[in-house]
Amino acid sequence: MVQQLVQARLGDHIEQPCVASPESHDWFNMKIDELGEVSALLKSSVRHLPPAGKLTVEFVLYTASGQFLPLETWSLTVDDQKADTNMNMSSDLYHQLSTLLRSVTCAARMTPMHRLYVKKQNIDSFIIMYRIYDCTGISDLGEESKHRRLAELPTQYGTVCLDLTYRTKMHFDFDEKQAESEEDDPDKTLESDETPTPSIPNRPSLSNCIPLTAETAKGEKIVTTPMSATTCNFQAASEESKKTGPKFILGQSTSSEESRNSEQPNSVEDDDKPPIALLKKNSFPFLSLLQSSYAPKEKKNSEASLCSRIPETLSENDITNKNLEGNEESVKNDENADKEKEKEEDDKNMEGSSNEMMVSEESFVDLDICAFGTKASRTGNELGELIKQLKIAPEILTNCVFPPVIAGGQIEQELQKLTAQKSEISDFIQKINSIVDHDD
Amino acid sequence: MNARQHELRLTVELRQVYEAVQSIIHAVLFHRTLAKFAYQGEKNFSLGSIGIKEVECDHIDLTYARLNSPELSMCVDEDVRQFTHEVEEASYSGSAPRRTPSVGSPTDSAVPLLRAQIGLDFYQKTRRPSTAFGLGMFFGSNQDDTNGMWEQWKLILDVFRVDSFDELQKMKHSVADSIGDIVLNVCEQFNQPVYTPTMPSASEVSNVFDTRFSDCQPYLFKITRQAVPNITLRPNFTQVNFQRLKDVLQI
Repeated sequence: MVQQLVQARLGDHIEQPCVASPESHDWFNMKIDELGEVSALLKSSVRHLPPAGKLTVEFVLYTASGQFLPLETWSLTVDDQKADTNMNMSSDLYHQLSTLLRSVTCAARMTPMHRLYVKKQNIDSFIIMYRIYDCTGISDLGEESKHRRLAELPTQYGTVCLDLTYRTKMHFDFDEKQAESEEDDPDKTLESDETPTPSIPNRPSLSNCIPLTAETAKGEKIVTTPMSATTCNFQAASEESKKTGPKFILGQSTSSEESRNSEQPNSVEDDDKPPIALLKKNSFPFLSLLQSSYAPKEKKNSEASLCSRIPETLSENDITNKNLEGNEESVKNDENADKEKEKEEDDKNMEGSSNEMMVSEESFVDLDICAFGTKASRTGNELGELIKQLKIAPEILTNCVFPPVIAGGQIEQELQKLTAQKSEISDFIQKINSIVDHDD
Repeated sequence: MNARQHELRLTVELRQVYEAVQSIIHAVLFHRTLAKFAYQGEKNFSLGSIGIKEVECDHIDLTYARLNSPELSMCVDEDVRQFTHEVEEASYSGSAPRRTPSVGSPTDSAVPLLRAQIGLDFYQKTRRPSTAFGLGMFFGSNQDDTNGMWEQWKLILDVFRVDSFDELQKMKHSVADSIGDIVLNVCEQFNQPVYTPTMPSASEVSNVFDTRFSDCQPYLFKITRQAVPNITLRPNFTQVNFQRLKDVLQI
């Protein structure tokens, strides 16, 4: 369901063929491309899979001026108090859930948000973002919001309900702006009175929404992030970003052959509300991998993540240098034997990224520009300059040249010179002392 | 059998008839179509997969999803095009009998043309006693394959004509809103615990499903068009019985 919803809002033309062969083994007998990043976000956002009772997907409009406008919310709930024990679980439920999935497919394209915004997403105006959480509380969608119960299916485990709430009045209210600004403020955990904050403690803030646009207005394709789908801990990342500001993870990873063949990982982090252009800007290979290696906050994240491989005590320069030298230092610092396999895999990735950097110095400089957000861009540029200077530095510096080795025959001459100078020095010291005494 | 009946109403501009009907009929068919069956034995079967295709409308500000089956689309398209043609013909012909729209004008200067109706019926073939079959034939019941109708969708269109570009633009948005509401209503109807025919055995699959298509398997359906009232075309009772008797005697 989440995949269908998100893909319907990408703005891409979707066309999947019908397959008569029963060997396709598609869930609910429906061909759906699976975006790896959506799956990863779903896994990290929902504590229990399948979700225990509730799952909410919310779509938000993010404007170029940095405003968030919640547009629609899809809530899937299972009420275990209303169970139908007479139901034939083997076929009826599967068939009904398949019908429910078709309804989602149809209905996802019939909301005002889809008609008004999905095809018109642009880096200069707005993009659509989404967030997933396992609680039923929803944002305020304005005065004239509509609610529909799209499905109510009694099953053996409870009644499956799908609720759609969508905004019909597409403009910002003052209260909403205030609520959003309060929500974005990391120091303020409470929202305005209108938003049901106390009932939705696990809901990520609006600033943690994920952009879903696939293409920029210029036709620049946003590339995939298979790495983030497998190794990044979004939960930890979102907690971290709550402290430092919004975090944007770009692009979409997909398990489909189409994107697997052609796309590359990509992501951008930012400490402030970023311009939309920055959210969609890059197409550098292994950018996510490199960026997660460089980002200082990422290294504090979970141990399972790639970034946890880098010791926290290292400075950014150290990190950079170690990355360039193949990460041998980080391997030495690892003491936990259980993590060795994982670390070896990470080392391979790191080596891959290092090799990639070595290929082109120009691309390496570009990496720094892309990898760091607006606030951290200065640091990123300095790092890039430093690395560049390190790479073009001469092998032997004149200041560090050691004096030539003194031969054995010359030692006596040197000693005689010293003894001769010793008497001169002692005379000089006596003169100084006499002058000092005379002054006193 | 008591069929569930659903009535949907929509106000459209004449140029929007084709796309409006397509979007709604395909939404219904999408829910009532399964992947192609492959039987292993009499009762065991496995299913293929269905795919979707997004269609962007030209005269309505709408994108809808339909089943990506060229054969099924062609089958539906044939009926919808014929219906659209009949509506246009009736609209331009001053002498043709027609119903006038029963709703208010959607724009300031929209001209009411007619009220048309198109239906999508789902049925299953049932076995009937031979006497009843004979009597049915004699009394003019040619619904030998639709007596098991279990669901009926009726779309009533109030067709208008607008001349200005601005009004047409306005209707592009308003009709899209209306279709959105209709399709969401349709989705609600499909996700209730209602009757659908049970999965048939291999020998009876053609009694429940339309097996003409190679890539998907919709429930047996029939599209009924009624762009203009066909009261004058209907023969009287005596004419029908005389014709039937003549046919039987010839056999």
